[in-house]
Amino acid sequence: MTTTASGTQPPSAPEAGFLAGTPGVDTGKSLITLDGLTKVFETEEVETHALSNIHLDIRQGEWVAIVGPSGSGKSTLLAVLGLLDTTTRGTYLLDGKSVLDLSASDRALVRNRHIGFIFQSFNLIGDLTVFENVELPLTYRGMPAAERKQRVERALDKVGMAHRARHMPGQLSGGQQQRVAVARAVAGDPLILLADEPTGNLDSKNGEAVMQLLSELHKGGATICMVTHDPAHARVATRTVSLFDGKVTLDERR
Amino acid sequence: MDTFLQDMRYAVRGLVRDRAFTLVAVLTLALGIGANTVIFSFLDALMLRPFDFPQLDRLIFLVEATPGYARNQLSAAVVDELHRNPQSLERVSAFQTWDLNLTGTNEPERLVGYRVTSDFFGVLGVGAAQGRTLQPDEGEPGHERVVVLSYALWERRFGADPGMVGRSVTLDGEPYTVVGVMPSDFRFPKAAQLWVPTALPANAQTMWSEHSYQAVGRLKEGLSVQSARSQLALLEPRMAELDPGHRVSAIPLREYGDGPIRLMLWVLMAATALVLGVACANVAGMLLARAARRAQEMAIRGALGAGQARLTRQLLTESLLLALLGAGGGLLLALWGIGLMRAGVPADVGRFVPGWHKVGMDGRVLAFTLAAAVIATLAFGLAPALRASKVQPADALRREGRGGGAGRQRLRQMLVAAQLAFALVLTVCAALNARSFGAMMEAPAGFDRERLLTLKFGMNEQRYTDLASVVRFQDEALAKVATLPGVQGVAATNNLPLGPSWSRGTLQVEGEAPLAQGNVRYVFFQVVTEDYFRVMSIPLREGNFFTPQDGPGAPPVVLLSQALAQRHFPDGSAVGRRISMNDVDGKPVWRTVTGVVGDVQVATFGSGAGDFAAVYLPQRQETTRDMYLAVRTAGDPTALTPAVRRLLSEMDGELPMTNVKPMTQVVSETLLAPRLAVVLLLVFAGVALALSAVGVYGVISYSVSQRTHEIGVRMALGAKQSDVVWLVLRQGLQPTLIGVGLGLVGAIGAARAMSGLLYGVSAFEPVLFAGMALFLVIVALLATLIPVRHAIRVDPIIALRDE
Repeated sequence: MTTTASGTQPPSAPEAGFLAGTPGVDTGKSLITLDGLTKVFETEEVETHALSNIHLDIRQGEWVAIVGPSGSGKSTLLAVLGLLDTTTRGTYLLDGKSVLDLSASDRALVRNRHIGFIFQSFNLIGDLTVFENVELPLTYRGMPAAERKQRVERALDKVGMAHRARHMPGQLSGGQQQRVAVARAVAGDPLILLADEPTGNLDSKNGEAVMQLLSELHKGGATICMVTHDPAHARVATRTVSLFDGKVTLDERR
Repeated sequence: MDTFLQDMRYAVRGLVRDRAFTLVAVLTLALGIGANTVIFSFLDALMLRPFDFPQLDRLIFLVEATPGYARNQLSAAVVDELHRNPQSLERVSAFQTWDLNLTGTNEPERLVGYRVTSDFFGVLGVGAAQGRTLQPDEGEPGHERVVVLSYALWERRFGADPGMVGRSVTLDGEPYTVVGVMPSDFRFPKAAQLWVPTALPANAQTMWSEHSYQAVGRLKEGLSVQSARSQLALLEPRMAELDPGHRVSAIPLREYGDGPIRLMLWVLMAATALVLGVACANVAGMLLARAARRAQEMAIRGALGAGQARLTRQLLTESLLLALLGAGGGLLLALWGIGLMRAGVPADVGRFVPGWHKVGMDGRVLAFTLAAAVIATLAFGLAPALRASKVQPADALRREGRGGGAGRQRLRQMLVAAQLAFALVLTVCAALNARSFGAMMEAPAGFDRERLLTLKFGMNEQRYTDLASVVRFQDEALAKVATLPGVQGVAATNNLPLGPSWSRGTLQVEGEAPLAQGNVRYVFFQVVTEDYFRVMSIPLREGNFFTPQDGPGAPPVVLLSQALAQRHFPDGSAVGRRISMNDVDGKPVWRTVTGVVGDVQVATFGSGAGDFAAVYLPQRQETTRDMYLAVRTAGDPTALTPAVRRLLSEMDGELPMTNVKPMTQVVSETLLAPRLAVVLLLVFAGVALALSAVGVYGVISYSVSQRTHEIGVRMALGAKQSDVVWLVLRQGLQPTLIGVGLGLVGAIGAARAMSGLLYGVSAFEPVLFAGMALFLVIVALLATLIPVRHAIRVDPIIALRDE
């Protein structure tokens, strides 16, 4: 079990969960298994297949880039992976357990404990300080305050934002906000990080910085699934899954 | 707890950020909660716990009911029966009013006292604050010259002298030893200033037809008022034989107060509940609009793992905080409102209302306010919280939240409809009361109340031992007052029309078929001096007024009001016919009608409204020791007060004079309760109406902001301004018409429920109902004007580009 020591802040102590495992190496353990996953939007007149018969296996420690043109189903797939959305058919095993038939509250529980989200538009809550934003999912978990504080400080430390803990999101640049969002995603020690166009709302310099941060997390053992339009960013990932009209057209490991 | 505090912290921050929203919501809730707190403080003190007696629920008030009159005094025989055979009562005590003169070193004073049987204080379960209460043998002859003083009298008249117990005071010319002073909050029966012991007459068990006692009893442990009623019913067969038409009934002591006042308080409580309902609906609408703005935040929280219950809890915490702030504001408003209402009621009116001294802010009122806040939280916060917490976490992936859409807008429209319905109920009730009050003000009272000074004086039995001496004094007093400069006429009467008290007797008409067994016909009567009708400007319709010759030795005579004369003698002159107002030895005392006078509103509008039937008896034949003086003056009647007082004092230095007021004030005090009710209902209706208008404005304005793009498209496609105006108005009209429809149904029910308060106006007035409904529609349409202006100013190019 090792960690890398690059980035603006020194790394914290090793963590369990997504940081576990050998950096950048397929450990062989299957984290996400999709089998025949189909998502159909029905209206009175037409059926739209947003996802069609998806088979996908994501292993621990992988960094998967999901690419494809607009409307290809990238975000729908990410929403399904994050249990934000339901499916029409198929199976979805997360860490070996079926999660499609869970109730809404159980899905919320799984999201809270096992999945970390990074959104294109950061989605920090404007009323909360940086610290409180990162703390929020831990609060929902019912974690004691002392442990929350420790985790939040460690996560902010990891993304180099510890010195801005008392700031409000509105006082930060876009790049800084996204770093806070990354801290929020990793603070709960999830099984997988889901990133939806994490650089989409950033200029190139800040975009690169965020990609660098994700690289460091991956090297530290994180499993990442990232939707992106940018081929250059996709190439940083260890695996690329291309979608077109809701179908996987290419699945390439490097 | 940790999460609750965290939710609270987030709530505070969110409300501070949305200052305008917070301010409006808190003010709205403060109005609703404050109004409820004010009325509850009166309701609680006057109705729910008018007395602080231990185990108040076990105390009952005993009355004799007769057809058409529910609260007669008890006969001595009934009281005797209850004493000897208390049945379901643990103990019972009777009491009689005793208007007396207190004389001594200070100015003589007329007091309200009570003669009570010895267990009186024991029944109520209250001891003396100083000294003791009355002992069992003190009602017996030779022992009865002891008195217990009220705290207020001890404090005011005797300067709170700590050595008062054991001292002697002069009551109606006789010395009484003070044995105790009651606690400051002991005020029973109403307006009591002192209590002396009494015993039932030796022949009480045969005195079935003289009703001069009131009684209070304490139920045996575990027994209900109903069980007492059932046992009292066992007396009925004997009463049917010995006192036909009478039956004994038990009323919870809690309900001792005035019926119309109780109804008025319940009506006002219901009115404030409606105001709070409107306020809650209004704030709920605002919260829904706020939730739409926060949809994205909720989606993010959902995506991060907050379940619906967690989000609902957080949103309810925000609502609770709002409600608590509203309750804080409401308490401040209530403090002001209670003070204002208390100040609006003269002290000598308030002291006749049980519990009046307790009206104010106390623990119970605070608890009520807190409860109102919690109920309000659920009322205005639950639906928006549940709706807002039903997030689609996937919306977190979208750049814009979906905002709730049509469902949320529909709920807001329903809330607006509810507000308008509540507001219409209140508006109709207020309008009906206002018309009723107007009718009272405009009702022909039948006498001229202007430039009339009134005062009450009482003559004790020690100084004026026989009735002839009473008449002599009154004759002399009237003659001397008449000579004062500025006096145009002077008369005396036992009750003032539209005054604080009135008398009723049982009417029999010679030649009419006797009423069915047990039925009694009550009629108002007044004892008056000869000049009474001229002084009061009451016209003579037929026959003659009383003359000084109508004395005790002359044949008994009466005058009738026109209404009574027409009711019983429709075929001809009433003059010369005979009626009876009382029996002696079971036989009617017939009195000859010598004249008919104009109709006068004798009693208050609440009891006997519209009943102009009255009998007048000559003071020389029915001499009364307690009389009101009525002095008709050329100018300001109050200017004559010192001269009249001085003159009477010169005649009798121990003659107490009370209730010195112009007649206009007497009538005004009689109308105090309905006037207060009207003012409060108008205020509440106004608040509800304003809040509803804000609600309509909020919904339509939000809708217009949401439909800017659509309006732009419509305009780009050629929609005219009038089309856009209609588009917006139609949206406002829909909830308005639904609200008005529901409100009309509610208003019909509410008006029927409060019909007992109305005078001269029917509970269902189609024109008034329709008028108020139309008024509400107009108000609602006016509230849509600003959004309409925004809508017609939409620039299609900008609107389409924004999208």
